[in-house]
Amino acid sequence: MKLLFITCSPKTWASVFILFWACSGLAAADVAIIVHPDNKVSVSAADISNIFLGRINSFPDGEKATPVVLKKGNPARSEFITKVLSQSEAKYKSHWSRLIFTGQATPPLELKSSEAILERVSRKKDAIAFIDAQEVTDDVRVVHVF
Amino acid sequence: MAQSRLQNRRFLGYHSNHLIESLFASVIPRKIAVICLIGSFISDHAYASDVWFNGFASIVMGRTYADRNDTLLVDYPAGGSYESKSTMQTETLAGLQMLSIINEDLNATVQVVGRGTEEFNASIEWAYFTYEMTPEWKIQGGRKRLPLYFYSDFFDLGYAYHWIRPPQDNYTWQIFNYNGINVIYNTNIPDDWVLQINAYYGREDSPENPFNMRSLRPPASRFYQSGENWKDIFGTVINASKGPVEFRINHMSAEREITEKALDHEKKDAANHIQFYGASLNYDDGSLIVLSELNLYQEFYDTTTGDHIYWETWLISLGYRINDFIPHVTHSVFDSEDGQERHETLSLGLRWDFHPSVAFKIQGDKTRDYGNGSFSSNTDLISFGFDAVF
Repeated sequence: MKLLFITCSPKTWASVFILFWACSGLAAADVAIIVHPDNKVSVSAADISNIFLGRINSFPDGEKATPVVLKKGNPARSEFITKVLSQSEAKYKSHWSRLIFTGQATPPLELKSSEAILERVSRKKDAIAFIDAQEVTDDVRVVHVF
Repeated sequence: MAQSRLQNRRFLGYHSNHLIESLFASVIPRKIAVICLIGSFISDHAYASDVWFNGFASIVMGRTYADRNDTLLVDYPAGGSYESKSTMQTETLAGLQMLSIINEDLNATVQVVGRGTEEFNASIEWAYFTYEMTPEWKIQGGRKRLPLYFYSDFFDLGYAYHWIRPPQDNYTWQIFNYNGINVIYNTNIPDDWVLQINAYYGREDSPENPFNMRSLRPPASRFYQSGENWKDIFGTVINASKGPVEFRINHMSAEREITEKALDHEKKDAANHIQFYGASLNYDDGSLIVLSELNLYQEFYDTTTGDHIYWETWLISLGYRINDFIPHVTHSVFDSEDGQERHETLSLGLRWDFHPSVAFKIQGDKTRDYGNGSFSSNTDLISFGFDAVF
């Protein structure tokens, strides 16, 4: 038991608390899937799911696709994982841990805020990300809304 | 140029792991705690540089209940077994992985694992580079896990499956890792399927093989030495997935050299051609989980006469996710054609994801051995523990 407590830092406990708090009070908002404005590719819901589950590293046109995700605790993230990937945070994490520790994929970049996501996607041509649909700006192109 | 930079980075990678290793060597009982602490401390800062740290740990306790013959081998690759006395030594382990991004297309990975069965002496189990030629083609070289069974690749990563361990009746193999090259091809195929093909070539020398030394059970097993070298390992893994469905088939062939040595005399040397075929079909829609696996193994003692042994293993597992709980039931079988090794296990278990990165698991296994040789045993096992990733 002692060891268990060591594995969970106060910070982790705090994020669990924030996650519960964030999930409890907020109504579900729409999630927008965004890419670089110059990226004119069309992606299906299945493509999005395959990219964010690390199964494929390219858009349907063969160009490189690099997923960028919001950090745990962000409501849009829980929304994305449940609605788009039909998974739970634990299942998502377990799925990615398999890819990371077997060398099949490098972990997706995790950013704290929608601003950081928007900045990254407007700069990187291979990026694909999700944010709260209400926070979308003209710097990015929306490929799907869930 | 890229090559020399890679070697530099890989040298640095090894170097820092030596530091970590010597750190562990100083306080043996606290090694797991240390690895977890390092992991949780550095993982939050990993994005700042081009080096990422990730880790995993399992803390498992178990004991057997049986009338006689109460040793049950559960971890064949590392030779871990349970007896009628509770222990945490058998399956407790921790791993730390360092991924160094050299540039957009090139990265290097080193994974260090310390196991209870090996007195927590952390060793480098994976060390390889990955070069992304195109988004669809990757080439990897170095030391990796041999991807024989479905769970071989992530056998140590309890967090990624619902059992305490992949069923021991299936996961009976001697060679855990290999040194060589691996080519990966990922592509979209019609109807939203994703296809992944792996082809690998390499070899592995294991002069004191833990599996052989513990499972072959000669009269003086403690002093028994058995070397196992697999040469010309050539394998292919084809994996297709769509939504909740994952389908995998694979084949491997190798030249197996065995050198066996008893306490006082050399017993036998052999060089046999081996063939392995595997197929898995898994389904997980977020609620219902169905896992299945079938593996066939052939070993030719004499390729001209075709004299060989043949065995098959299979498993089926059902689980159902209810909020953070996954109750599951599994049946697994080992069956050799000559009747020497025959055993099966019925398992009942529960996984509870009580924390976003830690799962609690408890499991009961009933193993029955019908073989003419003594490979497994008629034993019941209760085990429980925690699996974490950080």
